[in-house]
Amino acid sequence: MKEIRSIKDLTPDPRNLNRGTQRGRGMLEQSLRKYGAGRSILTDKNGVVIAGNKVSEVAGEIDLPVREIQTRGRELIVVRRMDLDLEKDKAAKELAVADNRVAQIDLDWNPDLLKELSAEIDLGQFWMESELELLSQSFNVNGIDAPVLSNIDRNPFQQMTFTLHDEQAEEVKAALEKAKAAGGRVSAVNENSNGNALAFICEAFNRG
Amino acid sequence: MGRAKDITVKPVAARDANRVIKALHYSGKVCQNSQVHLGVFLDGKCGGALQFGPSLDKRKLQGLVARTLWNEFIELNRLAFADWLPRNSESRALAYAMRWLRKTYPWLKWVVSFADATQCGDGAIYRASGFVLTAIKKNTDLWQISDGTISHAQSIKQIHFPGQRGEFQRAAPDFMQTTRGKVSPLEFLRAKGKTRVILNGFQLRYIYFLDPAARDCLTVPIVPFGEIERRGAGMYRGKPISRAGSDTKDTPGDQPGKGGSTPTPALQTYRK
Repeated sequence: MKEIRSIKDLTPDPRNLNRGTQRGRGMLEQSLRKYGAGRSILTDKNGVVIAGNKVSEVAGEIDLPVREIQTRGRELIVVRRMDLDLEKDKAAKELAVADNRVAQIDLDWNPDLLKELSAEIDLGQFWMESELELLSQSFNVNGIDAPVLSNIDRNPFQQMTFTLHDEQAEEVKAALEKAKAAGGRVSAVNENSNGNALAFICEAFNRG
Repeated sequence: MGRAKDITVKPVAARDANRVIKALHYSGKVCQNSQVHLGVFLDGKCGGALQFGPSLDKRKLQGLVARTLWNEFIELNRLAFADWLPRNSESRALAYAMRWLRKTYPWLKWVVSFADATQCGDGAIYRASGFVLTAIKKNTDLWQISDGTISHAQSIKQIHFPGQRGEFQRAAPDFMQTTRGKVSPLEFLRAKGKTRVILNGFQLRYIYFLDPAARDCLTVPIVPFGEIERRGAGMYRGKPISRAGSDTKDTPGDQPGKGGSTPTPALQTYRK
């Protein structure tokens, strides 16, 4: 097993699920330059990067030295920054934000690789099915029979609504009653007496 | 055509189509009154959907084609495709959908659809699929509301005062008093203490004739596609464009008589 002495000894994950973003990369570089290295990265026993591919890329570009810690995952590696005091240092506070925010901005899942990986591992433990559908833009949908659509012509009746002031409404009601009394209650085409009365009034108005 | 010839289009449940449209359509919204929902499939996976239903303003649109009965036309309310579908899938899917509509609902004579050139595109897919352009209208109905949402004027009341008549009066008891009886989308917004900005851009109306004879009954002039550029109404993926040098310059320059399949990129799969 070869020792990891520099970034050059690391192998990027050939199927990194995170495509990263331009903005995220810029933020990551700024964070590393301004605050130095925060958390560690993770490789397998062969030095292939499992987590922290983007960090290792940028760290390589700015020539950050590397220290290897070998572990079998039964202990938590604590990176203790002796130059920072979260109570007092602005940089520590900013690093706390940067650590989360850069990860958020620099995350862009690769749906093709996710799809490929789904044949090897159960992605259902990390995403709900609906979330995976959204990521892959690929939906589990079944066909159905064609829905029934009406092919008959429209019913020859219409409902019309108007907004009236109380005073106007009284006037209209009185006119409708008067029209009904004058023979406007019925018509050959409609059984709605108010509608007939209104049409009766309108006919009289339209024809002078 | 490549793998686009392998896509299939079939009816799917409204809830499934809504899921697809919400994920893929630029608006993230579905049209509530859609009745026919078609899924676009490749290798058993659904990567797009088309939704059809009655137009909101059916009475006004019915007269666009003379002698059209109430149920003889339908509106293509939404269409959206995933980026992973092969090139030309959009026009291929539209061609399948039109053929399916013609066969399944033989009384349908035409399909109307609107391209939203305020936020999305000027309808390159429609032009490539045999639709004719019948109107280019400066937008007045799509509004950016002060709460950040985008709404069609006709949906304002439904969105901000859902429910039956009287709901809005309870929500804003002085509403009628203040407006002196005026009931308009703008008044509804004012009652909620909101303002609106009319989105800059155009809306384009396209028609596809399922019954070729209906074309002769069109009561409005067919607008040459070149008019889109002349009016400055070009838009692709939410960005105003000039046709010259655009990604859509290979669409037909005039109105085709029959459906075509000129390659066009996806119109409605991006999100702003």
